[in-house]
Amino acid sequence: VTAPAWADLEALFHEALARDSAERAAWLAERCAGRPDLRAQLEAMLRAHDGAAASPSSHQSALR
Amino acid sequence: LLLAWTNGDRDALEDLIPVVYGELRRIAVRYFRHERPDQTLQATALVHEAYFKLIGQDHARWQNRAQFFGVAAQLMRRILVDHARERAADKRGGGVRPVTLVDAIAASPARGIDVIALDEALARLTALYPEQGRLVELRYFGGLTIEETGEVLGISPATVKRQWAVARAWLLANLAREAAS
Repeated sequence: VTAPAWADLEALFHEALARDSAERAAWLAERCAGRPDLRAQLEAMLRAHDGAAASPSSHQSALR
Repeated sequence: LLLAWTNGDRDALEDLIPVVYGELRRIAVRYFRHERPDQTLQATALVHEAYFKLIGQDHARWQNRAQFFGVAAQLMRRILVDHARERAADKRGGGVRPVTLVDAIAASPARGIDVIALDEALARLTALYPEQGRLVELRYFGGLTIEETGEVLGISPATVKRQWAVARAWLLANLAREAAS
């Protein structure tokens, strides 16, 4: 398994963040069609990002 | 020596590394000594203190400042990881409590991030994406701001910010996966 190119990760991650969480899953599925590894990676990153943003103190430090 | 370096002698940088390392260690050890159970450590404070001690504001031109922080981030990473390993190995103390860095990555306020686990996750990131690994090292272990990181890497603050958000999410996801496995 080769890791996705950084440029793909970066672009898709930020595009995904710009979307409502409601439409995000479907959007990711479409953009990552045929690339399940990339999709799983992005989903894990978005979960981690949302989890970190959900706690106030780390949110603060994240914006440092 | 420091003046030779600030005057642009690149070889002097090589000779300086042990000096910078020694100073960072001294400062770090002082912080470690005052460690409380809930102790947190700001890499930012340590690296900036070493900088002012060694160079001071007067002599430094920006290029050298960037180089200094680039080197200091690497050294700081080593010091913090070594310290966390020593503590983990020390069975006489009151249990194992990894030093918790409260800087830009900290994911969960209750748990903080284990420095050793973070170091390993960063090594995995760096293996796949060297440039972004370097960026995280500067931001997290060097405690550099977005602007300072951009100066060291020669990229715009906007690019640093954008990559940082992605790299941070990558690391957190990687740490979560490791913790679950």
